[in-house]
Formats: sequence, structure tokens, C-alpha cells
Amino acid sequence: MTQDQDVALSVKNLKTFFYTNKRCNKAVNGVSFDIKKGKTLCIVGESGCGKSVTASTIMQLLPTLSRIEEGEITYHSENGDIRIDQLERNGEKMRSIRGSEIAMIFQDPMTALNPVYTIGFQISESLKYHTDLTRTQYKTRAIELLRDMGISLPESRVDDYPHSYSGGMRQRAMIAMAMSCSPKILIADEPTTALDVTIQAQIFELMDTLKKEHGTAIMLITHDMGVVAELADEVAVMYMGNIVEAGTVDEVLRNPTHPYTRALLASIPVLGKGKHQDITAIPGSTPDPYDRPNGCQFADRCAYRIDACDVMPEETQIGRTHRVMCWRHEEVGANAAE
Amino acid sequence: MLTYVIRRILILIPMALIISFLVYLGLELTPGDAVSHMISPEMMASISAERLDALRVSLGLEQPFIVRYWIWLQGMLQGNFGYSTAGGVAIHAILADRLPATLELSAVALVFSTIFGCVLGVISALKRGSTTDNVLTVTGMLGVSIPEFFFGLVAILIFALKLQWLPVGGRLLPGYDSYWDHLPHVIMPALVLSIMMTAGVMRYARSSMLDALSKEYIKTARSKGLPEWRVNLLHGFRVALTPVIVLIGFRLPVLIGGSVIIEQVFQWPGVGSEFISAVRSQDYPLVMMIALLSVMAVLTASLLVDILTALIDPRVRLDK
Amino acid sequence: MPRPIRQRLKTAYADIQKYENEELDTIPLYYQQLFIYESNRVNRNGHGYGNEQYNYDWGIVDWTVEPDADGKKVLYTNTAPAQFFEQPWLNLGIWIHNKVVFDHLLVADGSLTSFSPQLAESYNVSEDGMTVSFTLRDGLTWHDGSPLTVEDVAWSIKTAMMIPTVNPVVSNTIHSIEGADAYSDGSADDVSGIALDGNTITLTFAKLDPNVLLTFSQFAPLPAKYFPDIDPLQIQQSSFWQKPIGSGPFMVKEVKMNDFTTMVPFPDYFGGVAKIDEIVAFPSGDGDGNLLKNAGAHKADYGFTKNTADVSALEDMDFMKVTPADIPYTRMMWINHYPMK
Repeated sequence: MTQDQDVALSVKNLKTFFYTNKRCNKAVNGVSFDIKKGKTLCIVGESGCGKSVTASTIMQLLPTLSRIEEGEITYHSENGDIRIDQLERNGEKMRSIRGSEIAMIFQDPMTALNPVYTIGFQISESLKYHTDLTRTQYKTRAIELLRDMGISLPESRVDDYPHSYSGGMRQRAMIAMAMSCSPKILIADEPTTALDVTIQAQIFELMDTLKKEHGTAIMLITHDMGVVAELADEVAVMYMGNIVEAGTVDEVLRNPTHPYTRALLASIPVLGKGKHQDITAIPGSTPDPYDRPNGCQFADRCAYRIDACDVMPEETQIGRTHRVMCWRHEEVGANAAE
Repeated sequence: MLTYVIRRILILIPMALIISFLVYLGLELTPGDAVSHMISPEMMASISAERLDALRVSLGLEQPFIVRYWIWLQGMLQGNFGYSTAGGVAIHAILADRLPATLELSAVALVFSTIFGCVLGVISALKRGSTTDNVLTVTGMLGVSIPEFFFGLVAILIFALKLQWLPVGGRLLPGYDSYWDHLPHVIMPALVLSIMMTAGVMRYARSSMLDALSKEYIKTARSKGLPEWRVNLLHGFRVALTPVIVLIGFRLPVLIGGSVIIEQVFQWPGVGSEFISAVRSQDYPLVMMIALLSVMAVLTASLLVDILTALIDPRVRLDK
Repeated sequence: MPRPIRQRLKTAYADIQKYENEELDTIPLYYQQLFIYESNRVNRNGHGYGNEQYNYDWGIVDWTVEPDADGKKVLYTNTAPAQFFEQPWLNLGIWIHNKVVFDHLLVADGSLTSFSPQLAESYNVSEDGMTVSFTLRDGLTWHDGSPLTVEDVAWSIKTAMMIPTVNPVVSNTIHSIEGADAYSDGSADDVSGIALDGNTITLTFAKLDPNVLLTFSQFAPLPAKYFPDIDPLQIQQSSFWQKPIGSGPFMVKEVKMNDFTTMVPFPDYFGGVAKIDEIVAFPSGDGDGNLLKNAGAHKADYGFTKNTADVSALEDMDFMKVTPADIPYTRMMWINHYPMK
């Protein structure tokens, strides 16, 4: 199978299951997507839809009682393809990819930084394992990174502990840490959820700049459609372990063909539309992950439900890049176009 | 930090005063006095009250409680620790004799339990749910629940009486020239005390380590591609260490006070066993001195713990 | 039995009961035995057993112990001091140092009923029992080599008059000496009933005391020169009791308070040099909680106990021998005897 030159990482039919008390949660149940160089892929979905698990699976950072059941994760490195799913979890090969080839930033910068080490130390840890820099160069590089991330007085801030940083500064420091070894892929797991709105914008701006300047492929996990509209090149909408709809940002936002995507878009207020917007919450709640419906996972909450929905719909390619998992996608798509 | 330390040291003074007064009061409230301990009840019956009072006067016991406390306190402030009521031995001499014995045991136990407790606790946490973890957890539970004296007696029975590898107790015997002669005596009490203390540290280290390992920054550390040992030790254990340090810090007073029970079981001539006999014979000056030392040890240990936690956890600021 | 006699007996019994109930001040609780234990390393060489809580003619000088690997004959025992040696006038024969470091004017037999001279070469009791004299052996010395004189004996008796921490039997005897009360309440400078003449001390009694000989078989004279100007009440607080000097067959060699005390034969002992090379005593009180452990580890060659649980355990050890001894010792419950504090 040939790959586009610009694909950095491709995921094929990935299944990650969690096991608790002899019960199985099919947290990620057959997802496929590509992360492209210099592009941002947004994965959108409610809490528990499997978007964070997908990220953890790529990084092989899954908890002990979970495993990749099926599927492929292929990292297209400069030196050939690497099947990440076949690597030992914390083995040498995996470790050499983490941080240096694929880096990750987390949701809550308050807890993601170790409170007992200075920011400089935590950045230099990455440098120590992935670069040939000497001990003395670590600090220079850390200061440089912090400055690039827009932290003022980086010379003194580098020796500060995380608790003396504000939330936004911590996330910048996290990004500095992630970018320290110029990774090809940056996975950001809801990087701004814990931050103020104004700070959010700054962080996204920063990520956008990095993407443009370094050609970094970004996989951004979010539940915020506004963020998607702002940043994404491509979007994958996840629901209960499946990508129910994926495509370019235009395709998905302008022409949603899955009822869930539509429902998500309808539940967001749009700036400029005034006070009396018709905001519709999605009825019902997500099913118990340990006791899922047989067919379409969204069926119980879906306005388009028909009997056929008791069988899991096939993925349908409705455009070169646009695909959807719904029996009635044509009707849904037609409605959206109205 | 310096002002904090100075302030804390200044607080020690009133604390020590209050506690010393309470201990003195407690002694006063127990029935009998030093004289009633010196003379057996049978003999007491045939001795006239005047003779007993004369003895009390000669020992300074006839004064009202407050006056005696005041005299004792004055002596203390002048660095005069007083003399044992029962035998007239200078208290500093008694302590100079006993403290090394206690230190010898408890220092070994403290070092041993800290190292092994942390190592086993960390292993247990890292291998959570494994057979190793279960074995260690059960052993740890036994360790903290079996009384010291029972453990000590069983050890004596096995290693001293049955196998005859080690002496039953005591610290020194005639003709001991070097430390090596005396070492066999240290092994068993020190190990028993160590193992009991290790169990506590281990359980503490395990839960603290598990807590640390569940933190998000552990995932961050892994996501940087750090090797597992670095993730577990530098990121996990380093943070888990703080509560363990607190536990160990609060055990420091054992260095001074000794383990009363272990000292009794192993006939170890330390401060703990001295304290017991001093309390029994209502030897006020001796009881007071040991109590005061222990109080100071506890207060100092808590100060040390504060300083140590501030040193290892940058989030803790002592000045505020 | 004829009815009138029975009636009279009944009445008399009731009267006795009534008298007892009114006058009763003590109730006997129980009678005790004590048990002397010895390891099979020890040989008394024919000397008998007696009331081990007191001092009696036990012939320790002749005892032998199996030599250890170095050929040294060491006897292990307990009742060594933990903080200080208790002065020997209170618990007469409890501590090992009472037994071996201090000698007495007389020595009793095992049942404490007949007496023969020890430090005294001879003694004499007057017909009416009111005058008793002791003539010391020639050339007696303390362990430090200085002579043991009648002055030491007289000083010891007078000092014991002043303090309450003296065994009641001894105390009764010495307070029966003429002038004892005047001396002890401070109205006289000397005791009129004590007379010294050369090597002889003569005691004149104001009231007859039946226990004079028993007392002087238990009352250990102390070397007066170690207690200059001492307040008798503070005698126990003297530094002398960190390493006492006595006159008995063994002298204190090394004291590690709370660790051990060693005693070695006194080379100038008038009764000959003891055959045991060294006595090593571990600290304990009257009842030794560590007895079984130490015995099991062959570190208890001799001692005595009143604890019957210990006795049966000791009897189970095939290298230990236990000998019971009758003691004229009854535990009493005393009623209204204690001065309120």
C-alpha cells in the first residue's frame, strides 16, 4: 500500500479495549485516520468517546489493563515505516519515538508538570534522551524554547518551579517541552480545557505557528467545535469508540452528514447570532460503555433512527476525503444543506 | 526560612515548659512516692511515720508540689539535671550511659527501616497486584499488627535458644574488647526493631508511591520517552518521598526515647528500660529528664520534618 | 461431749472471734516456698541449701563451676544492680552482692536457727541475753586492704539506727540497744549501749531481743571511712554504691550498670580464696523476668525464684536442677498500718 508523501502517521482499524472485572470496554472500536505533515487533525467528541484513548494508544501510554486488540498504527519516519502497535510498550524503540518523533501535551498543565522539578529540568530531560546536547547546552536550549513559546524573562523563569507559573504559562512550558526535540507529530489532548478563554486563543495561535514554521503534524483532541472551526484542517468526529464522520473541516462543518455531527453543531452558540439562538442539547446520554447497543451507538439518541440502525452501519466514503458511518447519511446531508 | 526556624525554636521553650509541668503533675498524681518504693510494704508497717518523714525531708520530698517543680526547673535552667532520687547518681551520668545503647539500636533500625521500607514499598507499588506485592502487603500487615514483644520472643526462641546463633539479650559482657565482640548482641534486637519499623515505612511508601504513579506528570514523563527507572524513581518516588519523610521524621524521637518494649525483651540497657524503672520507683528527676528529652526530640523532629519537606517539595514555603 | 462443755467451748470461741475482729490488724494471706536453681555446671561440693533470701552457711568458697573453653570457671547469675548497689541492710540476702561481697559477724545455718562466727572469731551472750559481745578475727581487711575494725561495726550499727530503710528484724534489734532512741532522736551524741574494747564490741540491750544472733548473721558492717560526714538518710545516694567495698569472699571487679557486674575472689579472704574464678551477674530484681531466656542460653548457673511457672520451665531443662527451700515467710495483709501520705 502506498502512502501519500505527506502522511506522518496512519491509523488503520484500531481497536483498544479496556478490561475491568472481567468486563470489556471497547473504548476504541475500529478507527482509521491519517495525520498529515503540516496539518491539524481535530478529533472531536464528548467525554468518553475514545478520543483520549486513541491519543494514548498512539503514544503507547495505555494503562496496564488495556491493550491494542487489532489494527495498525504506522509511523512514517524518515527512515521508513514503524509499526507502533507492534512495539513493546515502554521498550527502547517506543521510548526513542516518544518525545523525539511524536510528542504529546496534556489537558491540565497544573497536574501534567512534576511539581518538584524546575521547568528547565523537565525540558532538559527530553533533551538528555533525544539529543546530543551537553549538559550545559540544555539550559540554553530550554531558555530558547521558553522564549519561543512567548514566556517573558525565560532566563530566570527556567529555574522556577511549576507552581510559580500561571496556567497559561504552564501550558506554554508543556508545549516547549513537547517541541524541545522538534517532533514530527504533536498530539494535544484538550490542551486548553483547563485554561481561560483568552489564554486558549494564545495557545492555539502558538500551535498554529509551530505547525506552519516546523511543518509539525498536529493531532488536536477537543470537544469544542469552535476550536475545530478555528484550527482544523481535517476533522474526525468520534462517538463511543468509532469515528462516525471524518473529512476536511469544510466538509464536516459545512456539510455534516452524520446526525451526531449535526447535533454537536446545533448545540453550540454562534457569536453574532444574538441572544435568541436556537440551541439544541443532544437528548439522552451516552450508553454504558460496558453495555453497548448492538448497532449504531448513537441510535438511542438519534432523531433519524430507523430499524436498520440496530445493525452497525458501514463506513461510507461520500467524497474523496469525506466519510461517514450512518445508514441515512444521504438524508442527513440533504437536510444540512438546506 | 531562617526566621521561621528561629520562631519555631522559640516556640519549643514554652512547649517544653508546659509539657514538663504536666509530666510533673502526672507523677504527683500517682499514688505513693519515691520513699514508698524504697521500702517494702511489710517493712513500711513497722517503721514510724516520723522516720519516713525524715527520709522524705532528706530527699526533699516534703515540699509542696509547686515548690519542688520550681526547684527542679531552676536546676534545669542552670544546666543541673539533678540526681536520681533512688541511688543518688547524677542524671547526666545515667543518660550518658544509656543514650549510646539506645542510639545504637534505634539508629540501626531507623536507617535499616528507611532503606528497606522505601525499596520494598516502591517494588510493591510498581508490581501492584502481583504475587510479590501481595506477599509484601501481607508481610507488612503482619509486621504492623504483631506486637513487638511477641516478635522479639519468637526471635529469641528461634535464634538464641534453638539455633544458638545469637545471645538471648543484654548488651555487654565481661571481656568485650572491641565492637566486634559486642556485635552479636546488637543484631537481634536491632533487626526485630528494624523489621517492625520497616513494615510501617513499606506500607506508607507503597500507598504514597501508588498515589504518585497515578499522577498525570508520570504520563508526561513517559511521553517524553524517559526510561522506566527514571519515570518511577525520579518522577514517582521523588514525589512519593515527602509523606515518607514525614513518617520517618516523626520516628526520630525513638533515637532518644528508645523502644521500651524491645529494650525490655532483649534486656537492653537503654533509655527506654531506664524510663520504665524510673517511673516505677517514682524517681522524679530521672523521669522528668527523660520525658523532657523525649519532648524535645519530638518537637525537634517535627521542626526537622518541616524543614525537610520544604527542602524536597518546592511548593512548601515556610515563611508564609 | 457433754452439753455444758460444748456450750462453754462455743462461748469461748465466740469471744475469741470477737476479740480478733476488734484487734485484728493483719491477715495472713499465704505461705511461700522458694526454689533454688542451679545448672549442672555448678557443684556445691557438699554444702547444703537453705533460706536463699537471707545469708547462711552455703560455702560459696568451696563451690566449683565447670571451666569454659578458656579454662575459666565462671558462674553466671542475676540480681546485679541496674543503677546502684542497694545498701545491704534492707533486703538482706536478695542481691548477689549481699551474699558474696559482704560478710557478717555471724553465719547462720540453712534454717537460720543456729549460728557460728564469721567475721567474729567468737561471740558471747550473757545469761540474761541483755549483753552480747563479738570479738573480731585478727587481721581482717576490707577489699581495699584497709583493716576492718570494731569501729566500722559500731559506725554501721549507729548509722542503721538513723535510717528507716533497714530490715525490720535488724531494726528491732539495734533499736533495742541501750541508748538507741536517744541517739536516733538526736538527744545523745553516742549510743550508751555500744562499748568497744580492742577487737571486741559489746552491745548492752535495754530490752530483750530474741533475734540478736539472727540480726548479726544478716547485718553487714560497712567501711566507715567511705562515708565521712554523711547524712545517714542519704546513705544510699553515696557514690560508694556504684562499686562497693566489702569484706566477703568476692570483691566487685567490674560494674557496667544495667549490663553486668563481675565479682572475683578476694585473695585475702580469711576463709580461703574462692575456687570460682569469676561471678558474672546480670541485672534483675527479686523476680527476674528474663530468667528463662538466660537459663536457656546457659547464662544462669545459680539463683533462686519464687515464681512457680519459672520453676516448672526450669525443671524441663535437662541441665538445670531446682531445689525447693522452706522459708519462714508469710505474706500478710496489713490493716490500717500505713501512714496516710
